[in-house]
Amino acid sequence: MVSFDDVEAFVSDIADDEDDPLVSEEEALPLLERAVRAGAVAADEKTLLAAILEGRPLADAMKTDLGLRRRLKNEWEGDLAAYVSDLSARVAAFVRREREADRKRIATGRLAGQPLLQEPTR
Amino acid sequence: MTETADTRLLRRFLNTVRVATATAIAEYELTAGRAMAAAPVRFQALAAKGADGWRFPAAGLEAADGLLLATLERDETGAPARLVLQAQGSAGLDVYAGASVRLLLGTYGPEFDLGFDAGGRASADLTTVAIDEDELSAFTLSRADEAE
Repeated sequence: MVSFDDVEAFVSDIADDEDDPLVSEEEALPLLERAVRAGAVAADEKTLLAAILEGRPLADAMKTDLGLRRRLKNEWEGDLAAYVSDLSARVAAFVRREREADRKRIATGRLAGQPLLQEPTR
Repeated sequence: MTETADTRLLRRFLNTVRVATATAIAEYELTAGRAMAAAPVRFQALAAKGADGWRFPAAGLEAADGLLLATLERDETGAPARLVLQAQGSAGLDVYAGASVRLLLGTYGPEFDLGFDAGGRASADLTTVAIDEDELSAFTLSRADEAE
């Protein structure tokens, strides 16, 4: 369960640099995979998010995916806007967790999100 | 907090997802209302959900304007195979014989471009799409020249 207030506070905290460019498709896809591996979104929801990031209409993205339509019907009573808003909130919660993990790695002297670099050998 | 390349990328990713989802929702809310207004013929079953879920009525489903009757043909396993639309009476034939239509199943389901024959009959092959039977409890149909 994602706490809406917590996520909104986090988003308003980190989303203050409006000059940052949006990510490209090449940058986004590995992050979507990462969100799936972290359990933030389901594999079929990754497809929906990718379609949204491509700018495809929501209704078109749903037409070809029965699993998503079932999820929408069974879990969201057909409220597509609420479902997509929840997806966005879950991505925000995922980013928050990843950044928190990075912060801890930095605190313990490791480079965030990367293996420790080894000293060059001579 | 000190930002690494990864945390910066995550922040940009989050901003992108939020912008894209907000845009998609706004676009959807605008176009969904327009699409509903543009769909002149609606089929809506009464809620009659049995223990096994909703089943398409054996007698068929009549369009709100009474000019079309939709019936469901099943395959040997009982799964939906074809949705057949048949114009009703001379008024139905006047409207639909030879007409091209776009059929949208469910609220977000698959779309079909169909042509009615001279006898006022058209058929959508449901074996080509993944669909639950209860998605056939409501669908809309628009004339192809009005659906663009």
